[in-house]
Amino acid sequence: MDGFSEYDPEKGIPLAIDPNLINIPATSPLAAADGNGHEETNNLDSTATPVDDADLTKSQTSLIQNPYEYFGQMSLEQFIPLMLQQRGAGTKFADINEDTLLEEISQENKAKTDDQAQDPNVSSDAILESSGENLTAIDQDIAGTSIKDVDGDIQMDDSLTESHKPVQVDESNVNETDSELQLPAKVEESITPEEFVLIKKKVLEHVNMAVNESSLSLEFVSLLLSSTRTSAGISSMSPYLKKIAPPSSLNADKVSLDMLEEHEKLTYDIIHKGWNLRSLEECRKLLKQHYLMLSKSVETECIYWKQILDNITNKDVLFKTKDRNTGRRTLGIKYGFDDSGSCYSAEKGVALLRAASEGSQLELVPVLDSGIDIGINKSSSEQFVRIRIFTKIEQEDDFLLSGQSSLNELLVSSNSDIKSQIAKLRFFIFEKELMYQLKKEAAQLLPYGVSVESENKVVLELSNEKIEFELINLDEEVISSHQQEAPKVNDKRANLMLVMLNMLLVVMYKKQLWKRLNPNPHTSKSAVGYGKDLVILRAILGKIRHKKYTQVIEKIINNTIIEKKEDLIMTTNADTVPTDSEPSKNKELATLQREIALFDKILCMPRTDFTTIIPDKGKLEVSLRSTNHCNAVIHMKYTDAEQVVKFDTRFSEFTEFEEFLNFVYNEFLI
Amino acid sequence: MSQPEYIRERLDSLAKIDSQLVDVLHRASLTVSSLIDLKKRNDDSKPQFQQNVQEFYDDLESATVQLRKEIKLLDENVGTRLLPIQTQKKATGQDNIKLEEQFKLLAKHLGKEQ
Repeated sequence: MDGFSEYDPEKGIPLAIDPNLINIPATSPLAAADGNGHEETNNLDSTATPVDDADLTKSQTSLIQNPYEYFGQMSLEQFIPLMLQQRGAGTKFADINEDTLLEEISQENKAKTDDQAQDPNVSSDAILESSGENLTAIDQDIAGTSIKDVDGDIQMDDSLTESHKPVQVDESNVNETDSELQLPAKVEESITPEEFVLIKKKVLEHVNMAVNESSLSLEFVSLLLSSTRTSAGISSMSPYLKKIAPPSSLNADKVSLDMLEEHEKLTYDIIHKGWNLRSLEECRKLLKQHYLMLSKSVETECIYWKQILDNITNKDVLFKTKDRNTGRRTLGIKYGFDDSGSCYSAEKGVALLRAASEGSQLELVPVLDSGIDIGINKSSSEQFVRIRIFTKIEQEDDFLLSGQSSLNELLVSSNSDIKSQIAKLRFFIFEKELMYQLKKEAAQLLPYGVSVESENKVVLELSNEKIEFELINLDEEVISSHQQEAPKVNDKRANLMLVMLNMLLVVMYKKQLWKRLNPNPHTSKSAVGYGKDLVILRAILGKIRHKKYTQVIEKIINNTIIEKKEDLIMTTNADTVPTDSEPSKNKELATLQREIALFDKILCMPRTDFTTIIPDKGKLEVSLRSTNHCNAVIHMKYTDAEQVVKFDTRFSEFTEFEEFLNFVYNEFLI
Repeated sequence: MSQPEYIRERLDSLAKIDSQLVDVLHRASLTVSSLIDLKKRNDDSKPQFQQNVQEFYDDLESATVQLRKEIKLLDENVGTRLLPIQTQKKATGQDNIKLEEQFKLLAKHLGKEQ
């Protein structure tokens, strides 16, 4: 370029502008330029295109030197060596790039502007320099390109074309580029470094994205290609893709798209719509169906809760549980006496509150340990204890029914609401336990005429009558026969006996509760049942037997002493052994204690004292006691007139007692 | 009445919510049916559809609001009416019920005599 800047008289004035660009109709200068250029190229390259000799001679005299015309027509093979020569020896074409060119241009510009005292470029350069101290040449370059891009005047995207045809842009266009550069300079004035960095980043991003996209598409195409031309495809695949996608794993087919005819389109549309409507219809049906179903169940639910609301008091114990048959959560109710002191474990005393299938009624379903459905043995679960008294017919070895306990009102009533259902269940479980305990007690009372006749029958045999305790199933027959039964002599006795048995069992519960609240460390915890405390049948039997014993003793005393002597008075005093215990401080316990104490008279061992005072001979005291309610132990004490105890002895046999009494009478009382 | 008024109110309210929720389903079915009409290019059913959708949402809203209220009441009652913990309630007092029953029977049987 230096060659162009200096004037050479032989070559003519170097032109700054290509006259062809300005469209000046001058043929001679053109020719001159051609010739001039041709000469140079001839010197440099022998393969240059041949030019007319006339032109060559003309050029010798030409005053102007216009290389642009010529350069523009040169092929690259001619142009590149020429350019290299101009730039001086040692330069390689590879070294020439956009940066160096731009630098040169700007240097040139500087040289020019130095001549002109005031130029806007100076200030802009100064600004550029001061602001971008840390900016590299590339930065400037990029800034320049981007700004020019914005202007849209010069496209510098492709560095390849740039480097191959630098002439088009360089010196000849100095003025043009100058004016171009002035424009960006003005824009640059308003750009802060931050904005600049931002723009730079953006550009880098775009470039990266483009690279990414293109490499992705390359991968895609390579993979696709690998199915038909494996080696060609693989060669351009990235190692990563090779690893994760085996070659020829992607295929493509050309599918012809049949355009639908108008008629077919319509048909499809109709079918589509039909399906749509049909599914909607189905949807509506389902919703409706479930609505009906749910409203029904809501109704039953509502009734269920209403029933519970009306029938369950706060005293009833409800709890959440699971219905084993249906698997649904439901409510259970405790009706058994387990928590009130019962030791009966054959039945849990728990029932489910289930809505009956009709939905209008609640039904109670007792839960059995065995898990057997209650429907199978429902009849057997409804049992009650009946007491029958048979009287012996004189002179005959036969018994006649003389009384029987009446049916509980509960069993006769046909009321089936939940309250009476609960009451019935409670009644049945109690009756069953009563029978169970009676049987248990009867086993200990075999020597006293008590026998267990069958699973559900205990018989108490006395001298002139027989008492039957029987657990019988509740059925229509029993009910009707009971209602038709004519009243008998001993009905009341049987009833009272039954009431007493019931009460005594409750007292057993209470005693058990007392025990639970006052755990005794000496009793083993595993002991289930009432043990020694079980006094139900015994209480009745004991009373009956004791009365008999009393009569016997009275008779003996009468026979042996009283009838033989006159003026003797015998006083009898029936007494029970009081069991004194300190009232508990605990209020609950005290209540319990008081309640139990109410029955002391029945539960305590019977005792009768006979006192006979014999004038001048002292006092005879006979005491009839029992050690187990049923047996008889006779205490006899004779004190003479001097208050000396002559005899204090005990008998368990009446004959012995009678003999001894005779002996005493004969020895001391006569 | 075995249960206090308050319990009755709560149960009634819950039953109402139940039926309301079921009604929501009914509304949904009505909505779908009017949508079918609409799909059959019967534009007259558009206001009906809108009304159904409106009612559907109304029902749903009121039911949920009620339900929330009930839950709030439940929370408030913990500690006052309800125990905060689960306890195994004992069925005590059954013995006394039985005893009273028997006393009555006794009185009846003895009363006959007089």
